[in-house]
Amino acid sequence: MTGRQAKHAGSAPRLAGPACARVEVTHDIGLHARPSVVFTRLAKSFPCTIGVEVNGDGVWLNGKSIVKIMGARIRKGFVLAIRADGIGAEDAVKALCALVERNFDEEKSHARSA
Amino acid sequence: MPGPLRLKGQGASPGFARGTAHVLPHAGTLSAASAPTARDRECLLLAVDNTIRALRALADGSDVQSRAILEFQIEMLKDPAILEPSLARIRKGESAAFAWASAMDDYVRGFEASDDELIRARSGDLLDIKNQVLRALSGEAPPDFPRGSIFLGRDMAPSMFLAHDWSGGGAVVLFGGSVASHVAMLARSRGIPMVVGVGEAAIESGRELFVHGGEGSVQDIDGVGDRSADGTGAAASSQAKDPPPQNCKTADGVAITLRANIDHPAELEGLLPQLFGGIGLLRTEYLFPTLGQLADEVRQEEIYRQALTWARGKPVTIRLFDFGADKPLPDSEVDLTSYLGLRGIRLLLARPDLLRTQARALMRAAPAGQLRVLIPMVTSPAEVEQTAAIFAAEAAGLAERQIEHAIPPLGIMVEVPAAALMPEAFQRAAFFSFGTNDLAQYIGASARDSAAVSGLHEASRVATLRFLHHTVPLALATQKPVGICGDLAADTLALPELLACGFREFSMPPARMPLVRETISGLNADGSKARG
Repeated sequence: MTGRQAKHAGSAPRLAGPACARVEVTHDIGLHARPSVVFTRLAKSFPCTIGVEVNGDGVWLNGKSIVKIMGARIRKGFVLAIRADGIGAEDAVKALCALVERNFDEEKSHARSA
Repeated sequence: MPGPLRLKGQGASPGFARGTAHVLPHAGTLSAASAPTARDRECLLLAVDNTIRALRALADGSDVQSRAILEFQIEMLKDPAILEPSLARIRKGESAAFAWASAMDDYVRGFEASDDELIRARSGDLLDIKNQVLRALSGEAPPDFPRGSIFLGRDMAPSMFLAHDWSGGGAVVLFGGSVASHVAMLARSRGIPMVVGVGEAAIESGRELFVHGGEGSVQDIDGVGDRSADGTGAAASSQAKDPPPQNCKTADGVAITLRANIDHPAELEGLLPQLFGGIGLLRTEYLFPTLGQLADEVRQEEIYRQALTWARGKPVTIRLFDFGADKPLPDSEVDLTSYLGLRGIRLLLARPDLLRTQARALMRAAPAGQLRVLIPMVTSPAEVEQTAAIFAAEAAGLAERQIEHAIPPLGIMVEVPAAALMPEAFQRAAFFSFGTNDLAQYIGASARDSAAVSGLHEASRVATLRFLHHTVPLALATQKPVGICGDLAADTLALPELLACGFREFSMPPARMPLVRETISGLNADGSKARG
């Protein structure tokens, strides 16, 4: 599966760290409760540190912290930079980008009209 | 003595409930003065731990959807980042409770300020987390309310919903709230009627209320019977003295039949049957909120019989369970949310156990009046034949058991373009009822529940009227009764076009009927405006 916006390491030279990629959030609702749980749980399964920057604002959030990820109120159309440093960094970035591209494995809108 | 209560909000979960009001008292505000102790840090950590344990226990006994909501709360509490601001405040000398409450309030405020309703809706979860930890700190028991009562409050915590025993029925009415909140999702999945956004209301606990989750209304039980065809008590009394003729005619004298769309026979209380040409659509999917009730043939029969008795011999059209898409099958974890997938009769033929029970209940009630059965979401004639075969088989079973019954005529909802285009192929169908809500979304290929394509709904509506001009004559040519029961039937702007298409039978919410009758009386049968 190829991501719409994913450009892997090299295309963003200003970002330090062994692995980094950008991905656009296409999920209709963005990172609400369930996607945030899925994202941070996957992040926590890797030993490396993981940072997330939202729309290039220069602030790196801890990608393993649901409090920080939810707090960023990430919505559809936002571009995330995902950076990992340490063991399994490549794999972590690849897996997290793929999760965002797959809409957090949630095709159906979680909130349906009455 | 306060006047009769009538609250209007947004329906967040369909269904009906009667019960005693239980108004949640306002939460007291926390005082910063609650003396900090040296052990505040340990107390807060312990309270968070205990809350996680309690949530884990609740999650283990819950269904998939409830568990997902609880897992989210657990993940939040397990994240050390949630404690950072509180611990910093404690280091500055604040008490555990005050530090936690203030830090969480800061966090929640960011969500509440969002212009995105779905993000705002999450603030309820965060407040729930905040209050659970506060209760764990003070050792208070989680709040609950009496079984079977109608809960009223500003908002309801998901954990409160999940911990409550709903087996006695009841409903949720919120002054604020959101249809997108987790508690609204839970209410829909459990079949608990819910209304949000009724505004701050001075209601005392103990009042007997009637909640209509589908239309988002709440009223006194005494007021329920106090309704007439236009929904107002005043008109009911004047009509009782001088009931207008039941029949409706165009200006050039063509008779038009107006029928009622209802979700529950309880809506018929206070409505005069002589004002209606019967019931054009009784939806059954909201009547039985649990799988157990769906399997209860006798209970179903009683409800169908109520509608037939009310109509005093006029036709009563009861639609088979129309689950799927935006109407989830109770207690089901199968994903049926596609508008193009397994819904309506497709789902019933895939789950014939539900259809068989409903067929028996309908046939047992049938001798009480003039019953017609409507099959939803029909695409091919084979679906009608299979449905008819199930009715015939169940009728044989009832006959064998010597239970009184009658086989009703089976008609079809015309809401799939494929069916609308070839009505002559449906030889087994006894009548046609156009469902324009679904028809329009299929013609416009724009899902009704997708806000992102709501801009296309007007284009779909215009094209649907054109489509009806072509297809209604085809249905009329079969010489079978043809009616319309979608929202369009009560749309006074669409009525000229609908008459021009050839419709003579219209079904609509009872409250819309006076306006529709008046509009039709000013039009000719070809839809043109009457002179004078």
